[in-house]
Amino acid sequence: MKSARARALSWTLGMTLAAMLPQAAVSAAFQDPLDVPAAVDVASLTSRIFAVAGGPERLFAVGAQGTILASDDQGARWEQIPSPVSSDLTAITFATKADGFIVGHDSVLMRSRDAGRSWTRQFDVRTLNQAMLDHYRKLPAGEADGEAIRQWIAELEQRVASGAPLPFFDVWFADSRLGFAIGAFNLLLVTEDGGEHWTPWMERTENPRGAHLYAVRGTPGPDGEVYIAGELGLLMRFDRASRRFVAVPTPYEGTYFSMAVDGDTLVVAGLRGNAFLSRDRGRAWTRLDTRTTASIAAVSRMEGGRFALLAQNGGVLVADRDGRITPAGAPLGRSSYALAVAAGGAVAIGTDAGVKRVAVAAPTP
Amino acid sequence: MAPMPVIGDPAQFDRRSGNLVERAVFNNRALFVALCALVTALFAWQAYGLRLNASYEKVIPTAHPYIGNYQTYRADLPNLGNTVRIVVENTRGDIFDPAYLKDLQRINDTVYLMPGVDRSWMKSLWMPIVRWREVTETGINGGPVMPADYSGSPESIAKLRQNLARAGVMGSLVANDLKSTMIVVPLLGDDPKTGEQLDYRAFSRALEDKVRALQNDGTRVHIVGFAKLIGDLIDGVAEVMGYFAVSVAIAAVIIFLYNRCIRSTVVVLACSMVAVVWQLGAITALGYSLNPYSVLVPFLVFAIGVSHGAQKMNGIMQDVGRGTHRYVAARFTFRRLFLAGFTALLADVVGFAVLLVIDIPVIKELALMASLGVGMLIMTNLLLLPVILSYSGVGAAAAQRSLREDSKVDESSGKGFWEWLVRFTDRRWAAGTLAAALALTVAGYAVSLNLKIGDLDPGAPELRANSRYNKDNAYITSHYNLSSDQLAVIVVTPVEGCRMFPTLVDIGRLERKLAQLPGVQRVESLAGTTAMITSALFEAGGKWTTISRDQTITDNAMSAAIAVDPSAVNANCSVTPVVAYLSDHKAETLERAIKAVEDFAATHNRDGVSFLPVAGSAGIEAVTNIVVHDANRIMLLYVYAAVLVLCFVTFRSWRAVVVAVVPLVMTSVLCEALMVVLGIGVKVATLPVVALGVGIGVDYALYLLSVQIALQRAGLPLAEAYRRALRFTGRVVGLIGVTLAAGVGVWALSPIKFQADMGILLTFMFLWNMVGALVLIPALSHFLMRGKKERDETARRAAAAKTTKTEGAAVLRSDEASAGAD
Repeated sequence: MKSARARALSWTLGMTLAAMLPQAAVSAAFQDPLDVPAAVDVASLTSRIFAVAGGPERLFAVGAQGTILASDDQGARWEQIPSPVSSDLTAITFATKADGFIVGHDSVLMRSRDAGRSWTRQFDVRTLNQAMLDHYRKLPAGEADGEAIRQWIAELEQRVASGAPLPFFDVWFADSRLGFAIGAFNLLLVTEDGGEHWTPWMERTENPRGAHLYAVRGTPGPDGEVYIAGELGLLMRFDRASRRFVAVPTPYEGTYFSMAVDGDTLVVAGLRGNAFLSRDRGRAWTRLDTRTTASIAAVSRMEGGRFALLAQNGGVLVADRDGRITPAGAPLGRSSYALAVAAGGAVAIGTDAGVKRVAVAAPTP
Repeated sequence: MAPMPVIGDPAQFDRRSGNLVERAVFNNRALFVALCALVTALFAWQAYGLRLNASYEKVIPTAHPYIGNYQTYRADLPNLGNTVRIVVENTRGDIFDPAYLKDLQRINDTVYLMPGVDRSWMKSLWMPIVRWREVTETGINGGPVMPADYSGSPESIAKLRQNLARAGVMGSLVANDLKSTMIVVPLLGDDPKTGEQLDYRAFSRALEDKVRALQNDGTRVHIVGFAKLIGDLIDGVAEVMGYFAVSVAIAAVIIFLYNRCIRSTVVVLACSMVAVVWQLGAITALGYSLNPYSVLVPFLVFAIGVSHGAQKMNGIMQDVGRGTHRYVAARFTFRRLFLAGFTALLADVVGFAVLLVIDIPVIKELALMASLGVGMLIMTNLLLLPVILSYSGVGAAAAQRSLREDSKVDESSGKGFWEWLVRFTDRRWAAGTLAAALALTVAGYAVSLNLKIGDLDPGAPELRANSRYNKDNAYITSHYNLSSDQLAVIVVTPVEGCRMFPTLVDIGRLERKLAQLPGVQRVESLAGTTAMITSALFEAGGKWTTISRDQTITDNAMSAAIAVDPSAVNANCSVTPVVAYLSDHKAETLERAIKAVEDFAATHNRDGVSFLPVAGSAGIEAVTNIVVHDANRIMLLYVYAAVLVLCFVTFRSWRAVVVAVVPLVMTSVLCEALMVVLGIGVKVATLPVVALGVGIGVDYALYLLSVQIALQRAGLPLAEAYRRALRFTGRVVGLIGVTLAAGVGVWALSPIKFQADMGILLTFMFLWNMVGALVLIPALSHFLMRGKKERDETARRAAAAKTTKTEGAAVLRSDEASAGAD
């Protein structure tokens, strides 16, 4: 209903921004993607899409060069939403109906207070490295995590000097206040006030090898579980008592790129078609027979206790309650990165050329 | 135009009469002939070393700044274009067939050993550099696609099938339908030791004789690539040279039918051939070679030579027929026709010379060669020909016949074709003709508004759609994700600058801008490759598909990217291309892409980093279109300016200039309409057509009008003046039109598409200019060229009719009719 107006508005806004660019660009200097709003153009609809997620009422997708897309019809048609940066964006989530968060490369974290209609930057590499360094320098010395903190101070001093960012790969909120943003080299920021303030928690992870963190998911609510999955078979569980992430053993040494949680049930999946299911919060594991050597880029919870897995070649696999895998049609045959369950027995897949809607069979009774 | 006296005995002829040129030549005619023979021998010896060439460089507008960019950085962009692709198709099934793979191996090995092939980067199923890769928990696994222990067994074929699936070569090395595979053959450029250029013709021949020869019942070979195209073009030039014999034969038949005299026919053909030999010898001596454009010049020179020679011959025949001795007849004819012939040839030279304003080397060469050739004709056909005829004479029977034919024009007053033409001086016929011409021109103009710039057909536009090359090209583009139309932007940075994050971000922005244009299928750039390889560095994690601001990561990715494809950047990482693959090379597609690049460069060029148009086949074509579009207008302007000046100098009357030029304008407009109808766009090859059509077309008017005006100035009324002008030159005008059309008409058979287009258009222009001259000159003359006396006479009669009102309307009508008939 609002779509036509909203679309017109967002396009107008986008074009105003785009029209302002050439004037700003006459200077003979490089235009940093952090200073350049995403180009509003038809190319956004065929951008590389790294994340698709259901927001309040709408589906959202984010991807390369600052692309933010929204769909009012469960992924059939998409419109572009302006972004203040044109960095590559990797994940999107909503803490409440109004409050949304997007993270990406260049340590970008953006938020929306209007259900995803407009986005403002909270920080990026140019402020975050220094802010994290300041934070760690202020922590009282001699605590249990002293060694980790000293290492991070050294690391961040280098990063402040070189300007090298820590990219974000995922963001997730347990409730309207508690949220997690994770990324490369054990990057972990936590907010406890609904995203107003973010605190680095890198010293609070049981991740001695500094593995990349690729997925954060959990069960919603103040008492729910929170898990982080990542490189080298890493899986961590949030221990509310100690406010730390503690390692959970898994049967695999390779990398997990994706994870989904449904109550006590947990699916982690990653390199070379490896996927594992646990029914008891990560104590016992069953290997899922995915019958593919392609890495699993995304997992998402479906209705009826099922899970949809997305292989990097665009193949969608549906795991039923018993962990039996049924492929949903032939792979798309193009690099695929993200999956969200859409209404009407379909999934929306983020590919290297926009979002594709793929029908998935209804659950067998 | 008083007839010359009849002198049967050369002894009675005053040898000191005539102008300086006439006396110098005819009083020393033995010496003159000997000199000409010597020059001919010299030039023939020179012409023996004539080379054929189809250099790409010469077709491109070198003066354009974008082409300057291309030439500056060409050596840094080695992999753009100079690759031959050989597709080997299994006609019996898919590629997983031991017999097919064996054939493929034999072809692969043959190509591998061909001189000129850059073996280290040759790719095919049988080349070990084509590898599969796979990310594992411990790192990256890989190996050659063709199993090292391949034996043709079902197991090893299964292994090959598995390796192919992991190698990601579908659509590039393996056809989408699995029925063929490709051998990618990069060629070495200039020999680094000798600096010698690869002989494209020899290479192309070798591809046919050694590679395509290997195809059999089970396999079919398709070959595309720049070297093959150039080889095919040179072969086309050689074939077209063969048509010259056809052209000569047609001219011989036409002249013989015209004069029924073998002796003079042979002389006319021989003199025109001498001009061609001189021209070919001269261009060889000047260091030029024949290319697909300039190969047409000998045809033109020959045809023009024949038409002028035929006039000389015609004059001499008539004099001989009246009883004048052949020596005297030759001198009289020279006196009568040298100036008119000289002016006409000069007009041709001017027409060609105008082409020199176009900054495309082939056109300049064509202009130079044609001017040279026509200049030669002044010697061979205006001087040598009458001298030879003064020795040889003409057949007596033919001479008598020519007089009879000529007097037919006189006797057939009131009927016959020539008298029918005289009717166009009549007011009603004139008005009707002009109205029809105007309508036709307006209609033609309306159609010509759809005239397109550039080449319109898919594939290699130089060759015909049904040529083997274009069939091969169509097969390959339909079975592989590969477009033959590439437009490349040259990204220039400081040394080692192409690996920097800001450079790569801008390249990514340009890639995005180009990729969304209609007609762009795909864009490839260092940014895309770097992002993919960055991901590969992190276990192919999807979200790592980025250009990292962390320069350490990006440096690693770039090093890996360069290891995979060293041609992606130049040696010191300061030049890299952004290549857009286009779905076609229509002018709009190219224009859009160039415009997008210009816009991008305007906002993103900065100190040390620039985005320069343009390279790649479609890029060069885009610039050529720009230049051709501008040149087309300028050239029309110049050629008409030249013709106007020439006509004014000749006629000394603006009215006569209008009469002479209006038919040409009409033909030019209709020619453009014809191009629309035939689907021919304005391109390098069509530029000379208008200049040649107008420059040569004005000859008709020069002949007809100069005689008509002379007679009118002598006091004859228009109709009579035109009648006599037709008698003097009408048959010759017809002869010129037919011989010129026959000379260029044979090009229509050329395997080279643009030559055929040129042939068709020039034939049209030559014939239609002839019709226009014969029909429109009298019609226009009626309104513009009747002298004051003649108009006074008409007015006087009208006044007389008014004073005798009592005699009734019938008289009035008949009076008016007779006035109109004047």
